[in-house]
Amino acid sequence: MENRDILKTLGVTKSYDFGRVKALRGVDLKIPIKAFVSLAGPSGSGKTTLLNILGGLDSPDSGEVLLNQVNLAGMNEKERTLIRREKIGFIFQQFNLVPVLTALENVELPLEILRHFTSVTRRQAAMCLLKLVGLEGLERRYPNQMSGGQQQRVAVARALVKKPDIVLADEPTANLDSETGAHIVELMREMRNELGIAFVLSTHDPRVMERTEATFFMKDGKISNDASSSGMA
Amino acid sequence: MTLLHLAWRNLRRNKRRTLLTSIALTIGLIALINSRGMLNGIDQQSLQNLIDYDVAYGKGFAKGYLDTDFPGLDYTFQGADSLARCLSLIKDVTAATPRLEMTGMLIYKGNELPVKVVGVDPLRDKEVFKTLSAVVDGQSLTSDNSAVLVGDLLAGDMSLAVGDMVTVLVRSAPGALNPKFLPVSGIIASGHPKVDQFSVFLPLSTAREMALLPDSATEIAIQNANIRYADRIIKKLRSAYPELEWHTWDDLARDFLAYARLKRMGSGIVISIFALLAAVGVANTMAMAVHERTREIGTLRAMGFSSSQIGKIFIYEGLLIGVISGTFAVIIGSTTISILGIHGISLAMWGDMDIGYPVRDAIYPTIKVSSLIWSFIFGIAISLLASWGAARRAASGEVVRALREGIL
Repeated sequence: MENRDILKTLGVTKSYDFGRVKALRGVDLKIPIKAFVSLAGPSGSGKTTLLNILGGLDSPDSGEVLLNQVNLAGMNEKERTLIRREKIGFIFQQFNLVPVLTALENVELPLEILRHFTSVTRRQAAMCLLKLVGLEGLERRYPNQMSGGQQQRVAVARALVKKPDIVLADEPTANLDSETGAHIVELMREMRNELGIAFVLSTHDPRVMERTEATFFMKDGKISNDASSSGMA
Repeated sequence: MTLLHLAWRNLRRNKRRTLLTSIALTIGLIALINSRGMLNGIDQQSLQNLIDYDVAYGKGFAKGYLDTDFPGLDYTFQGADSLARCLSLIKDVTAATPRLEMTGMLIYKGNELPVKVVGVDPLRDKEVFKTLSAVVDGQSLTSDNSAVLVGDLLAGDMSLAVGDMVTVLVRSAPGALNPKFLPVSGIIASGHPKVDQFSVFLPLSTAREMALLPDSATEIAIQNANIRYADRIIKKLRSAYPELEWHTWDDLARDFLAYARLKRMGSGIVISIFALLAAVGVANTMAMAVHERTREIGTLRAMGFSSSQIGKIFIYEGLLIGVISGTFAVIIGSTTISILGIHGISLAMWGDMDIGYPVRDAIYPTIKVSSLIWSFIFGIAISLLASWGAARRAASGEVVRALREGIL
């Protein structure tokens, strides 16, 4: 694993309800380049809040969020949108595919807003990703014509198609049976190996944690341990 | 997959709702097109009837004639025949004709009705008005034949036929009642209710003889090569013949034009209500779409779609509803207008009621291409405006909340 961190937080805090609910209380975190790590913790521990801040969906009250040395914390929504567009991929618990688009079109969608892709290269890239996630032949299917596992594979392909710096997956296996969930985590790991893109997975599931290289445990808005395997944090 | 393409797919997501919204807007636009077509048709017919049978392109009167409610023969002018000949020589004036109008009675077999008695020059009048050409039974007037033409509605009311002898009673200029027993030479059907119901036409020479006013007229009417020249020509006549007061056709038809404007405003209010209802339908559809797709909006925002791109998707959906509705409305509306324009809309249901327009029997709707284009654009504008709120709402919500709670 390379030493350089793709994502780093320094003293990140976030509170809601006019400061009454402190979701994050000074989170320091380092995600190395090409890492495959999980973020674990009980409900309300701040996992999702942290993931949102890491992904530029939300901004911290204080602290720094450095994605490839660029601080997201000081950016406005417009600037964060541009960062998300090019550098961050998301995978959601409920897959969140656009129901009116086919699998292929869903995967193409992130490239639509990246101006430098032609329609041909968009299509080629999407086909290629669908093949990589094992959905060759299902390109024309709509989400409601696919199983949960297949939909999550499309979501993985969609997150990867623009070759982001990092993919953030919020409980990616929570809506899948254990076998399918295991396959999805394995797929993401393969993709990391194949494409060299870092993955951060939030999860409750110990079996998912086992499959990642390191797990950050969160409790009461803080990382309660250093990463559970060497070389992290 | 452009945003427009995505918007189109979204519309197809809930076909029934899109269809109902589009139908509501289409009906509103068809109502707009048909209403404009009817008003255009009736306005055109009315103006044509006014020009052909009443006001010509312009008229000259003795000063004060128009300011008096019942001018009678107190406001006539002399030398009308020579003036008509002179006017015909003026550039762009194609014809001029004097008329002598007075109130009188038409009496036939014990029935008597008040009428407007109009003395016309049988030769010149044809070049300015269409009255003498509107004979549907019998013969028109000639200079050497003392007879009357009556409107078909008047003839029906009095059970008159060609060849019947009627008494025309007028009050002469000195004030004496002067009856004349004349044959009905023809029945006219002009399409102008006041002409067909209340007017009796006879040769100018006969009218002058009855009024005891040789070489006089109450008005002189002109016809020009083009209606657009009317203003210029009347201006010229005002300075050349200041002893008369001159008015253009639109000046003389101002009551009708004001009435038509009022009707248009009334129709505009009704159409605005239709448009408002259609807009509420579109706005409701778009609001529901935003509500249902909140999590999807959050996902797109997370992927890097900007607020404006999200807003555009909903604006495009509104645009597409507007385009679809506008297209159908233009096709159906113009087809309806074309069919009604050929067959007409019968006014029989109104019976003898005065509908305020100088038309009778039927209205023939007509619509300009520009009006169709305007209606199409109006439909799109309504739809876009109605989508605006939903688009703003979709674009402005918090990404995290949209993803987590499905609330914008």
